[in-house]
Amino acid sequence: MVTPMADAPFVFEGTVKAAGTSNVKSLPADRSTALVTVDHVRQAPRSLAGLAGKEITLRVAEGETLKVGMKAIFSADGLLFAENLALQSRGHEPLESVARSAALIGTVPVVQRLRKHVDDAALVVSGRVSQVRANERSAKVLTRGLSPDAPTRVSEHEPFWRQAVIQVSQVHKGPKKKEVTVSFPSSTDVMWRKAPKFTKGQTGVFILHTPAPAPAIAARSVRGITPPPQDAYVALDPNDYLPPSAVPALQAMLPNDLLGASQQQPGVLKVRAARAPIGRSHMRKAAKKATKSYKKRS
Amino acid sequence: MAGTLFLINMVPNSLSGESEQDSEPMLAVDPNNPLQIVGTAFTPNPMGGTVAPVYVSVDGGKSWTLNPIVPADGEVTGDITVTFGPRSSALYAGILKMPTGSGTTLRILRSKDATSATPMDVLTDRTGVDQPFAQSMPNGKKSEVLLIGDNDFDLRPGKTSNVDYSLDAAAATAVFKNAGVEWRSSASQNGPQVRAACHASGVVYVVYYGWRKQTGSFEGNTLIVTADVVVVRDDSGAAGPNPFMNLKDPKDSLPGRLVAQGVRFPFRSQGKTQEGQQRLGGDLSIAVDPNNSEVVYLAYSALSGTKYTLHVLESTDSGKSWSKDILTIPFGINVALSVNAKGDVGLLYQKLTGSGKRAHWETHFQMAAKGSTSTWSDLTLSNHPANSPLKQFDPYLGDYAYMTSQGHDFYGIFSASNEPDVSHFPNGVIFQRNHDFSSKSLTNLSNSSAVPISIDPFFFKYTP
Repeated sequence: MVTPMADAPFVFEGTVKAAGTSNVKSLPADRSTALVTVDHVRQAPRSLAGLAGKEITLRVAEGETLKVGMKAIFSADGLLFAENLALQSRGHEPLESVARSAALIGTVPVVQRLRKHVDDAALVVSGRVSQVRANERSAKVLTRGLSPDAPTRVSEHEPFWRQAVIQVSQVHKGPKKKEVTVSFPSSTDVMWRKAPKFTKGQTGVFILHTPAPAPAIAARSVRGITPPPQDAYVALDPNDYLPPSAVPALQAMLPNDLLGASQQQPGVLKVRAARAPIGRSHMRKAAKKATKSYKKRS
Repeated sequence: MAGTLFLINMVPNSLSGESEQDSEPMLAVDPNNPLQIVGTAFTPNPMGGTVAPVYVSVDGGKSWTLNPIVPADGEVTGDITVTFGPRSSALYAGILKMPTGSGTTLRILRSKDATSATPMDVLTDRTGVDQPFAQSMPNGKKSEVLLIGDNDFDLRPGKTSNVDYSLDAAAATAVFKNAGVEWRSSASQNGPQVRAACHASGVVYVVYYGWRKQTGSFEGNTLIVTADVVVVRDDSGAAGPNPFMNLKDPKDSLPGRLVAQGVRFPFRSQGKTQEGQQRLGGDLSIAVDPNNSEVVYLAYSALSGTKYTLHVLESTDSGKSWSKDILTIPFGINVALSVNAKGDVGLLYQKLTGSGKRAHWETHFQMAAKGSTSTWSDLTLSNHPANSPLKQFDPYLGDYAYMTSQGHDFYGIFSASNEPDVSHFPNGVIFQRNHDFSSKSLTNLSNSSAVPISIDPFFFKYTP
């Protein structure tokens, strides 16, 4: 299970400057707010780069207590983005105890998120995209224009499904396969702006999902947009594709019985299926491995 | 122009590092407290997650914060529009939540306090809907009507123009109905724009494009639509058993006045460089005079020959007859009309000028004093190169912008380039985010590194 603190989008080392105060005009100060100096950002979205050294308003989590002058590692969500930043704390950990395993903690949120994403997937494979094709209807429309039997439904959110055929070099999770087909939206519409857009020759890790079941609605209904083919996997999330450089991190969090399968020579097709869901012990191993790797590098 | 303009980039200082494409804006002003204003755009939640944000101002638009309160199943919505309840001051939103791949879902939301950190309540979810557009009006002294114009592919195949509405939207359990407003045969569907204008008396106008013919390929980006511009009306706040049937066309006696017939326009799946990166697909706006429900203004876009053109018309007899163009704007898009308490007509639009590397997007606010629609004053709000910044996704500027009025004041929102170049804002502008007008650059929160220019939402208030 991903712990709420480890999964927080914003993690920083901070010093509590004042309790019961706020530097965000539209978030009145009360007993739950505190002014905290951001000493070091451990994890943050790119748009919040440059926050180190600034003071933010932190609204404490239920049951959380802060003392002026204390230093800690805070895990938080965004609360209000204003003239200054207000964060909702998920909790904090003392800096001292965490410092001993700083590298470990630093890797945990990333590893845990990746693990959750893998847990949610139906199939995780490494491989190469050998072909990208339009689905049958799209091909018809593109090559012949709007024909009498072509769809007349038009929505700016139409996904324009494409299918990528992946030659599998490794199966990290799911049933054995040498080749797998994945549907992805080729549309440039806002709804699909972050979905992966696969191209021929692309290599990496593909984290694939079964299509959402079609809602139980009348056959005449068209649901606003075309659903993906039900006989192929889908990839909609930006994290459904990882570059080849991410394979070691993925391997580090996989069960031992899969690690052998990960030692293949590039280009050699050797398929091995995952036997069990990834558990806590594997998470610990993954974190240790990542820590070791981090220490070696530094 | 003799009045006072206030124009501000809405991105707050704490988000100085953001470079998202914050397009397709909408605005709501609390009629009971015009200091409270909410704006929306395709701005993602900076922290990611499943709750999208809205922009909130509690000082009449002078400063803005970003408040993530929209349960969207994604960091951003697929579409979002907002309105305040005239009785409750509750904030309502009609959104498309982010898809799972199996269809679009309309979600209607409500918040008693837009400034609160509490996520909005979900009033209803329904699949198969596109481009929800929220409006509201009083229903007696205590209740309020919420209307969401939308294009619904599920309910009445072929007759897709639809209004979802609740006659008591502030009730603990708001009950929603829906009404189809298309009575004629369409080209399998109508357009996504279904826009309502409400009068306090209970009169509601709704305008939509009734699609009559499609040629070309949507996916191939060559689709041309032939359509009628249709206005329907309801005189009792949609409370009757057969709503939106009070205005009939004299030719076929069917509900819905055919204001313009057989107009043509491209309906793009992607914006083209030669069209300023903007995805074209028709534009509609309608506004009613708050002093006289018989006076109504309408704007639509269509091809004039081969040129995309915006047309503005007026009716003084409740939509039965319509003038010729009282204003014609070459390559005008993202139109929004509003009438203030004096009866002055405001018009917001964006237009593409020039071509090639000299192409620019200009945003204009024009106004005609009551009864003088032959004379329009004009303020340029923004004027920036159409090829910069580069499009991140479609739509580049949005499929709509918006303007409304409270008292004598006009309140508007549009999306444009955030390059801090004073020549782009000839009537002045305020930036909340870190910027340097002299070097024409944006910087991050600590002013330590440059931030690329992008599309941001801009709020303006014009007091005549």
